[in-house]
Amino acid sequence: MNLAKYIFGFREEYFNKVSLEEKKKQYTAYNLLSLMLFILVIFSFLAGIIYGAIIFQQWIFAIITGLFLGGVSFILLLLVLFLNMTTDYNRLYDYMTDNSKIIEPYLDKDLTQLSDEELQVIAQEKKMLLREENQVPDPARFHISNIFTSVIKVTLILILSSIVANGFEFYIFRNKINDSLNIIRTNDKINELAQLQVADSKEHSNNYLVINAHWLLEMLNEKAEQPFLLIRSYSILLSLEIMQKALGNFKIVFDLFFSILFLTPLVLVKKSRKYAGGVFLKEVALSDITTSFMFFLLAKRKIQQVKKTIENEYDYSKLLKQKNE
Amino acid sequence: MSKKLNVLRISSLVFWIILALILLLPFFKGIFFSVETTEDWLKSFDEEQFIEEDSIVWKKEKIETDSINLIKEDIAKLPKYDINWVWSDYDGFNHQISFKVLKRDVNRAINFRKSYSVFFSESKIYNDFIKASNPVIDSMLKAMKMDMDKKKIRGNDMLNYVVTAIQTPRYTLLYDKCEYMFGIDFINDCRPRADGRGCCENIYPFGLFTPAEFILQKTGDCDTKSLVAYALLKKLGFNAAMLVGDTERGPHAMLGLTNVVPSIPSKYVLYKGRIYYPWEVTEKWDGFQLGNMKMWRGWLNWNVVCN
Repeated sequence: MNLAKYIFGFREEYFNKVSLEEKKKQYTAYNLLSLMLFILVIFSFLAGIIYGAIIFQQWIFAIITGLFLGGVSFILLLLVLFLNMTTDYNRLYDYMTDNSKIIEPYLDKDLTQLSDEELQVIAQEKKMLLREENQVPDPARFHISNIFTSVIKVTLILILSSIVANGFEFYIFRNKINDSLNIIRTNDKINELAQLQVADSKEHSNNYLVINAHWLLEMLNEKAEQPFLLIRSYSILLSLEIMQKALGNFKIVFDLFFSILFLTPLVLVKKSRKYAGGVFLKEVALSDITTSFMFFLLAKRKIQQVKKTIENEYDYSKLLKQKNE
Repeated sequence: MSKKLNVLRISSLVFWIILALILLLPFFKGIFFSVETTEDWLKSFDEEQFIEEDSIVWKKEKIETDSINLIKEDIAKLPKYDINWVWSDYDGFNHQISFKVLKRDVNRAINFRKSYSVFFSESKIYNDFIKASNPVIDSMLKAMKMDMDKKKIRGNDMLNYVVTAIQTPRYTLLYDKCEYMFGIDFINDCRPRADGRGCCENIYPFGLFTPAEFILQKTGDCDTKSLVAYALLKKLGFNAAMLVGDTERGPHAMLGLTNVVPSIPSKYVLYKGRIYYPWEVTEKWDGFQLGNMKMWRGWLNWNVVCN
């Protein structure tokens, strides 16, 4: 299945001038990246469902939360990946951002007599010429701003990974968390404290233990109108604290697993020459340049045609004379 | 090129291995998750003191270091002071305790104070002075505890019992020189005087007695009295503190208490998320109860220095 087609626009037409072996390598690289992206988005979707289930204790809201987190994750990951997908064929990159050198020879040329097909030939010839001129990728150029943008990208991904990690840890350890919460709920001391009245002025009484005990039992006792889903607590922060304490340093290890999982596609795109130095991005760049050039030629021809029409069909002296009268 | 190819392979391998580990995690969850930590988490509810009106849950500190029990040698042969303390609390009940302290323990505390010269912080001085007076404080505490057990004094009544005992001896100024201060003409008489003009000259350093000296002489001013009340209440398990700040008459020290409902709420000090109510312990006059600060118009820079 060509997953890359739906994410990165990986189409056959880009590889007409490429060897079968190179095409196969690019196919593998981009499909692998797409698969990773899909897995991460599915993970985010599932984590969202888990969060939704704990926060809202209703499946419908859980699914909506899942869709929201999945969507946010898809957009963010795609954004980060696309931002890193700049071709290493730097001359092509320059032409894409500034095509004045390509169009310069045609600025004063009369194109009015040329048909669409002939313009197409000019554009295709230019494409072939650029392809020939750019056989070897140049090393990527470093700029100080790269550090800043990289830090932002990595931070975004780490935030996302920690959110997903916590969601999955909630699900994996849900039974154990429930056991712990049950210990708190049935604790004699908590129940004894919860029997006492909170003083009238909470701020001034300082009886925070009583307030805590009341709050704990309110969070842990199941309400008939809102049965528990997954975690037997209405407070996600309480569950998180219990899980964090129970997992100890293992939680850091698990969070690290998710961080690596989420950072791998970014590292892949950044460090592997299969992407920035690959044929696909080169061909996409050539295609973009050609399309842009073709539209320039069409527009230029139209301008010249309109100008000629005005010159031939409108009598400017007569028009000027009429205006003066 | 082959080196570059490795990035793809290695990254891919790392991704699938981590993914496999995450998916296998549910099968080994028992190894990583420790339910016992919840019990530790719950301990915070036991360790913290909780006060209610009729029954008090307090830290059962063993009083083993009092002046008498510590002595391995024949205590009958060692010289002692007989101390008798008589007072009445705010509910009008009269109390009396008698206890003995070894002269040696009091002398040690006095010598400790006189040789104390390096100032690090108020907190350190207060704690060091309490430490130096521990055997004497414990003797008094033991006598108080026995009396309270006998009279079934619990909860906030314990606070009233202890603090009124410290408030009862009249205020005596401890200073470099006895002179006209705070609108009072102090005279050099180091005994608690009925007219409140008592003053001890040349008390170095810091014009502060150790709790042992106060217990023996019943002589002290704001910081000395607050320190003794603080030491006794801490040993009884209350969340007590030493408060220092400024009033319209200048620097002052008071006892602070948190986790309690004040008798006459007016002012308080916020420290590390807790509310400390001040208690003026210099005199046992009407209204000198927990939380009441109406006797002072000025209230500036009050803070907890020791808790």
